[in-house]
Amino acid sequence: MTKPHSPDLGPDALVHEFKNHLSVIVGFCDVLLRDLPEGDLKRADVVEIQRAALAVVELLPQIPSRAPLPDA
Amino acid sequence: MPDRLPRLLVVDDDPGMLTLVQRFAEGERFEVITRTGGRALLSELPTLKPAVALVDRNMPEVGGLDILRMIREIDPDCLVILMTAYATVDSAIEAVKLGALDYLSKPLDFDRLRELLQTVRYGIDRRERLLSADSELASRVEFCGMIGRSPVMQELFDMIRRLATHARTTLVTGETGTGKELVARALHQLGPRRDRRFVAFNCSAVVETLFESELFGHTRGAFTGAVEAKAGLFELADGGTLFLDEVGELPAPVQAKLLRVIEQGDVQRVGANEGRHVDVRIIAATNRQLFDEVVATRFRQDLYYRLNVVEINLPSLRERREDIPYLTAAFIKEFAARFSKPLVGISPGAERLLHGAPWPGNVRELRNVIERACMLSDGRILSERDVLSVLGAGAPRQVRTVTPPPAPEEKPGDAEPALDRHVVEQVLQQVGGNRSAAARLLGISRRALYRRLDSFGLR
Repeated sequence: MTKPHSPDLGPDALVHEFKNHLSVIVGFCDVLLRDLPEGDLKRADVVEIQRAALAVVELLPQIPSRAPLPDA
Repeated sequence: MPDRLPRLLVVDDDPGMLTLVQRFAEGERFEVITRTGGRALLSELPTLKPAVALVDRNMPEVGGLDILRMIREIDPDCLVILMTAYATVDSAIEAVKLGALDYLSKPLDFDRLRELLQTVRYGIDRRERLLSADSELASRVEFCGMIGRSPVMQELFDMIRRLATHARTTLVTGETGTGKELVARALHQLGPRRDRRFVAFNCSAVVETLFESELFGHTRGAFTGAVEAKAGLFELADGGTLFLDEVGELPAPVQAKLLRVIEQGDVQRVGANEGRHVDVRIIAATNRQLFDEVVATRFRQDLYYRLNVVEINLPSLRERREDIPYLTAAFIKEFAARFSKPLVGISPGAERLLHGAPWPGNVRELRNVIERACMLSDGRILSERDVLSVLGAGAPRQVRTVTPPPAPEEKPGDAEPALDRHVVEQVLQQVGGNRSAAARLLGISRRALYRRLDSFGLR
């Protein structure tokens, strides 16, 4: 379930939530890049947002599945 | 270019994902419906009728696999793409086994999604083009209202062309629904009497006491109720053609009088002292084995030989299955126009069903099935579900007609129909492995089908 303030998420569910939100960010970047004409200065910004989001997606598997949850 | 966009249903519990896919797919010229899942969706699914669904696998309340199963059950023609943030090989295999078109991991690869949507659109366009081609071809292979591209029908058309100018008496035989009256009309239209009347008479639709009066007419006061003189059908058809359908139903006394008219060309009204000369071409038709009726002394041998100067035997639809696509296309075109429906094609699954059905009622039955399916359909493509819903009722009888199973062992108290492995396999193949559809066609419950599959080791 994708609720930003869902309490008591285990590490796997947390990874899932991150991935869902990141998917929306990455996806909208794709949509924006499709809409923005070549040469538009905003394209570089969008590419940068997408690159950063994809970097986080790449990092997600490294989060230990049984890592203790941080204290609220 | 289709005038209505294909419909995409997107199901995800994340509203951001719904907005994203909607934005993307609308750009790909799809009509997009979004839902956040839940049980309400299950009851809504039969009315949404998407061409393709993109469904998140992990959702609370109702999971994506359950939605996939339900879509496969209610509309096997709808393609389903699953998406997940937890993609594993096992889950992908499971999804594909359940009939998913593909399994996408998040973040979505939009190039891949675009390819998939293009595949869906290509499939729809292809079906429309095929139907249009079949329909065009049907009009080219149409002959006096009959459609047939098969060699057997082309031979039949040739025979009709050759006989139309010469044959004075013709016997048309064939199973019910094969188009015997159309053949009779073709013989009339192509013959020298085309400008005179074609009179059709169904011998099975008249009570025995009225046969003579109907065929030969009567004089005023010939019998109680004969308040005025009346010309019979022979007189009405004078110079033209009289079509006697179901001639095997004629009672013996009328058979004798009919023979005399054919031999001498004279009809005598009931109650009249003198006959009148008529010049009538007679085309008789029957779905019975008329010679067997002769052997059983129910039909006069001399009349049989008089009528059977030339016999035209019509093939059953089972003997010319290759004509089914053209007949289907022509009927869809006809009924789409009559019911003002946007129908432009038929799904491969529905086509398979029509091709595999046994059609004991032949072209008439096929036409009726397409008519009812067109009436029920509210999409652009006649779906497997549309066809199943009208084929279903008569299907168990039909399925067993195709392949009569050998006498199976009946369990005491087992009220389910006896079905052998071959029949079950055949039906499953017909419906592309859809078990609900197979159960429906076999006339048994899904549970009963699963029991059979277990016992045959097919599950």
